[in-house]
Amino acid sequence: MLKKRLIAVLILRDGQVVQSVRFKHTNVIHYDAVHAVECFNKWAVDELVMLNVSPDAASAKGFAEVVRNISGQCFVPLSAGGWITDASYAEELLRSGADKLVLNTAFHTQPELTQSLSARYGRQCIVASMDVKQHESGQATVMVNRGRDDTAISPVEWAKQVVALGAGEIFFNSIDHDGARKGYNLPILTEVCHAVDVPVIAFGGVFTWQHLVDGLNAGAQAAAAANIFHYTEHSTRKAKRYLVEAGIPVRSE
Amino acid sequence: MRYCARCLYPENAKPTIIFDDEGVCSGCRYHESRSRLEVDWASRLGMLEQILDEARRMAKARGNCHDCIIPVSGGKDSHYQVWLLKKKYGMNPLLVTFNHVYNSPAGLRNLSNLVEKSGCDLIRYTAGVDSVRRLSRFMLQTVGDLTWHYHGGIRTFPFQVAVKYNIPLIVWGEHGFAELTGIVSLEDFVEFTRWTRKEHDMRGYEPHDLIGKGGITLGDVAPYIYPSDEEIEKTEVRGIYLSNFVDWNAKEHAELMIREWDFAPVAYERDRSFNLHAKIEDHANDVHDYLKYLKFGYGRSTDDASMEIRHGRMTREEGIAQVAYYDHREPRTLETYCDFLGISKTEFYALVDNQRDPRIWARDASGAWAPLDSVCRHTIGEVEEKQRVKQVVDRTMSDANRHLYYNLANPPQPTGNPVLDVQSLKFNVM
Repeated sequence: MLKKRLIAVLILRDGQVVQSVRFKHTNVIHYDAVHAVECFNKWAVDELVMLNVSPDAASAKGFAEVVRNISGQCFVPLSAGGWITDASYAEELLRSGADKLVLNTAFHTQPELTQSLSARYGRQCIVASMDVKQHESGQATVMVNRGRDDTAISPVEWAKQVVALGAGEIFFNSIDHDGARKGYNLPILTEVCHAVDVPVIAFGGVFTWQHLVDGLNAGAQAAAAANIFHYTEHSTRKAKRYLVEAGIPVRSE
Repeated sequence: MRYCARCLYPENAKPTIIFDDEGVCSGCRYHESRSRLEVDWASRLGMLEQILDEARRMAKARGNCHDCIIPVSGGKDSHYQVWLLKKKYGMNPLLVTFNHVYNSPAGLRNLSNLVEKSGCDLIRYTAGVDSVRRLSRFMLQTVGDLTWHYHGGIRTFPFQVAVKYNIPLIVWGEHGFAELTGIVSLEDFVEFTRWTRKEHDMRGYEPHDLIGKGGITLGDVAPYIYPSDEEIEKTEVRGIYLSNFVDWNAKEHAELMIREWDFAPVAYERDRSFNLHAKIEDHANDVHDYLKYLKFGYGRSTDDASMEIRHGRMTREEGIAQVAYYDHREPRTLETYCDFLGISKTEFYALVDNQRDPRIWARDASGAWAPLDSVCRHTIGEVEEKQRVKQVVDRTMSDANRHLYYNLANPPQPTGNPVLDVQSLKFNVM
């Protein structure tokens, strides 16, 4: 049986690691992400995801620099994304040490870019990040452009589309759950996991280790979290132990 | 430079700060979050009691009479932490002090007072003066910090003791960085982490990074070596912050400790702040804080006035007046530390040259450094008006607070104790 993965996420704004709460950035956790990565390396985490959420496209250059600094210290697979709008920047991130590219808006506005990147680097290199928003009507749609633009496409429909456009993995997030400490958006996560045959990474809202278990039981292949891993000693190692005790097959330390 | 619309922090404030859409900084938002209705302090106290019960249970199982460690300096927060845990919760804490070496006589008076009044056991570690000098000199040159040893020691030594004596809990007071600039939120129940220690307290350096630099040896850095992950896990030690569980109010706590345990503020005019009851044990603080001004263009008066503004005890205008008066002043103890490090004042200033933040410092026509901006130069506009904090009756500069804050027009009454009434220009190693 394929082992489930535990992923630590670094949300970067202008090179600093920030806490994100419903896509607003409330506080700076680290001025230098390297310090966090040094710990995650030792603490049994399986993968790292770095997301550039700066409001400004000019942040792309500096972000690639941070990816380069991190990749030199990082001993697990590293995914990087944010402001990937052309093939040359995608290549720059990969050359900086990223193993996978995380794309979001491009799947909506430049489908040809995601297709060509997938063809060039392989499907396993392309992660589609999806940001789901639940509207007052009760309907959920996928948002792009850092949660600003509504695609009016349902999560399941979107998941199928991104797989068709070359995604080898889906990074699932819910804007309403992001930083809200109430666990993953399980109903929609479950639907998405059932709709596609690529691995789905659950993200957004983790506040207890049980939330990680809930996400994996909902069908996700990997459980990811950001804020919670930054606030206690040996956090990811403790999370792994909890997963083991809950009977989830994970890579041992 | 951009300044917070509510308090006086600039965007280059340390350790890290972020402004929201309304121009308010993360430190103000953290402060505001403490008074929100949804913060259930009763249930948080319940959580604290559970943690303390667990520590007592573990200590008993281990046959250990100490159930927790409280790192103390002798300041107002140390007094309150020990008082709360010992008197209110019946714990038997082991007090642990990493000797700053740069001790003020007032601080030593208060540390001794704390040990006497609490009746607790104390372990105090003093690093050799020569090694302190080497570390201070090197870190001053490298990152403009002559207090690296005790910031590192304060965060490391309690864990060394925890591992050695098999004590499972370390109780810190407030999360200082959260209070200042809001680097974490109240909802996350942040615990002590090794990386905050490295990233902030030790400025990105682990002890081993320093060996061989400036004559620094392994022996010099031994007090700052954190126990291994295995040792920490074996002891199951965790470090919690009381401010996550207790509705923390530093001024109220100081007053309580003055009444209950005879904690003593100083009564002399300090060189770099109007606050008479915080950081008074730390003799080097004035130079340390002056370095912050030389690097980033703001100092402790900005910190202290911002806190008063957030509490509504000072208006923005009153705070700015304090910043204008104190933040640029060269402390009288600068000479003391230059002598200790074996450098001249000119050399000291030259060392800081390349550490000045170019966003705030530039040389003027005469070649002297001049700040490009200051919060004092910013008029109070619509954005700031909108963020004004509701003022409370308890004014910082009122007669009732005369012993806690220095008011030029109404200075505090002398206490009759020379160590509290006259600032010492020399520090005491022991």
